[in-house]
Amino acid sequence: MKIGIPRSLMFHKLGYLWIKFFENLNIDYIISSNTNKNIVDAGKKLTTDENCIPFKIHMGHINYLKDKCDLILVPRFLGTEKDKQECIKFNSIYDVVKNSFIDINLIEYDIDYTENKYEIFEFINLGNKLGKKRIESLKAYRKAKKQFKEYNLKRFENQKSIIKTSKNKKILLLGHHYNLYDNVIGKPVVKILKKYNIDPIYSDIFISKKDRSENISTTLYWNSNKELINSLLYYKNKVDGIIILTSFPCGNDCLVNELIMRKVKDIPIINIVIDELNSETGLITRLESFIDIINERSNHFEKSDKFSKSR
Amino acid sequence: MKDKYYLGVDIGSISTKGVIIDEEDNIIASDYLWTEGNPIGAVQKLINSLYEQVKDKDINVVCVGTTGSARYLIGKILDAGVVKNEITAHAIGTMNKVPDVRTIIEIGGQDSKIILIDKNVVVDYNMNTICAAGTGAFLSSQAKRLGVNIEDFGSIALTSKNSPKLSARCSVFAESDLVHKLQMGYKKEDVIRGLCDAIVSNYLNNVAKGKKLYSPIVFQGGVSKNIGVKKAFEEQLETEVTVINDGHLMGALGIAILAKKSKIEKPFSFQIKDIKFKTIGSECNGCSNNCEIVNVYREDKIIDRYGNKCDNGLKV
Repeated sequence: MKIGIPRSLMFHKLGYLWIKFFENLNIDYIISSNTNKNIVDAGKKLTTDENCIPFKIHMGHINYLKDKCDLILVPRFLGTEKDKQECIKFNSIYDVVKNSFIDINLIEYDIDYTENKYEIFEFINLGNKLGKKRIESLKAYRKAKKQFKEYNLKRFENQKSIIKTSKNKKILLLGHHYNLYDNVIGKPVVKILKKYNIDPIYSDIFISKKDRSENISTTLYWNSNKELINSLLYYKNKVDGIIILTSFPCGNDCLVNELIMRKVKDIPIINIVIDELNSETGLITRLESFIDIINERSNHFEKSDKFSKSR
Repeated sequence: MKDKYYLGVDIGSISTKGVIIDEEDNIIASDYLWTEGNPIGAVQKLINSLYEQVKDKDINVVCVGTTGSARYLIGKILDAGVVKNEITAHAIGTMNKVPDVRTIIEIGGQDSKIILIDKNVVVDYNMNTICAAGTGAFLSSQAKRLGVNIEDFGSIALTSKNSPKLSARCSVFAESDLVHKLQMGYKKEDVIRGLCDAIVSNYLNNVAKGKKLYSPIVFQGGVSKNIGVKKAFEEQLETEVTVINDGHLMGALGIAILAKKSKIEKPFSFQIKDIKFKTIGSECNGCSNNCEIVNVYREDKIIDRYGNKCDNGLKV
């Protein structure tokens, strides 16, 4: 029995948890390759053009996996609590995949607060479907959850230490995890930043129990946007600039990005929208100019600092 | 020891601009010509024309800078010391001419941008996205439709006494609006003025959206030669808008100044105008990304290839 895990959407947030869960249960798994042109093209053909790019990429990954494993993991999320609702595509994705492919074997778990479907029970169900006993699954889940927590904490600590110790300029990449880490959407941006010796700070690496998003707006609806705003408020004063990275056409982001652009004033900020166009020229021009602005600004401030001190 | 000179080349989608400056940033030679879809040929023509202007002086160009959308390609061909994006170049060039400039409005052939400057530092910019609405290309196609010379477009617009409102959201809508207005019987000059107004409100809504435009405002790019659009900007912004004479050269001037500041020195010879260059596009099959690779040849010898996303592409 081999489980296929698509390297897209929720993988970039929960992938580690899934992998550890399967490892703890001794279940074989395969992760699809990094997103490439073939995967994007396949995904585009499998969905309608109205869908967002991460969604299309997800379909491409499922297509990549369909002959390489026995079951493909496609979870469904509605939300963990009433005020923590995920984007609607996470609710629909299971059904869309199921109906888009013929003869595809999926395995899912279903997080839905309206029907009291919580993570722990759903993971036990998942183990059940794979022929594991309740107690085995429960143990595997508990252990995986602990490992997952430690892993996230370590990433957060790492990022904090970069902020403290690195002498490079730092730019906050504000975007959803499935955009930031995707080979086609976020990677090119990170690559350009690194070329100019800039440390990218990822907005999804952030842990906090308190929700401060109300400082910006009390009417934010989607959980992922609340997380973005919380992360923004935390990192804002620790970085030299902010890149809002969005994929076209994200309905949630188009409102929230506008909100951020209006509310955050004291730091250079740009909105980069990644679409299906293959050319990177526009991206390079925009990022280069943005980096120039950040460098010029700090040169200028250093100079005027020195000036005021010498006086 | 000969004086040092610097060459700046700005290769846009529509036009190619070049200047040679001395160490005091004075422009001693400049030219402006059409790219006509052939950036290499245009640059060679440009170098030739600059050479004609300075050949009696026997000058020594120590560094080349390139900017504009074909900056990488031309940077390779001229062996440039500095290759920079056009936003920085335009800002530097304009600040040289108008030191206290706060806002640069630029409308070129394919793109339009806004650059905001505070205390001689670029603090913000914006570019039009994929859509080329309200740029030079749109204006010249509409001029053709109306049977008007694009050079006369502005002066015709000024003769109009009242202008119809044209949709400014998208050039496709603007175009159908325009046809409709003509069929309704509006005068040609009124429609032309409406078009100038539409370009400006499109720019203010899409490119400059939400940004505060402080004076002094400098308007440049090919469309700045259109006095009708300049007038429309002044009316809608209710302030004076400056168009500098050498406005079209600001990108080239800026990159030449950056080349000077970089202190990089690379030998440059005007002989480049006679060398044969060609480019061949190919698709890399090194991995499943299938990147489109551009190979640049100089006298049948490959000098560079780019477009690859990973290192596999360099092996082909």
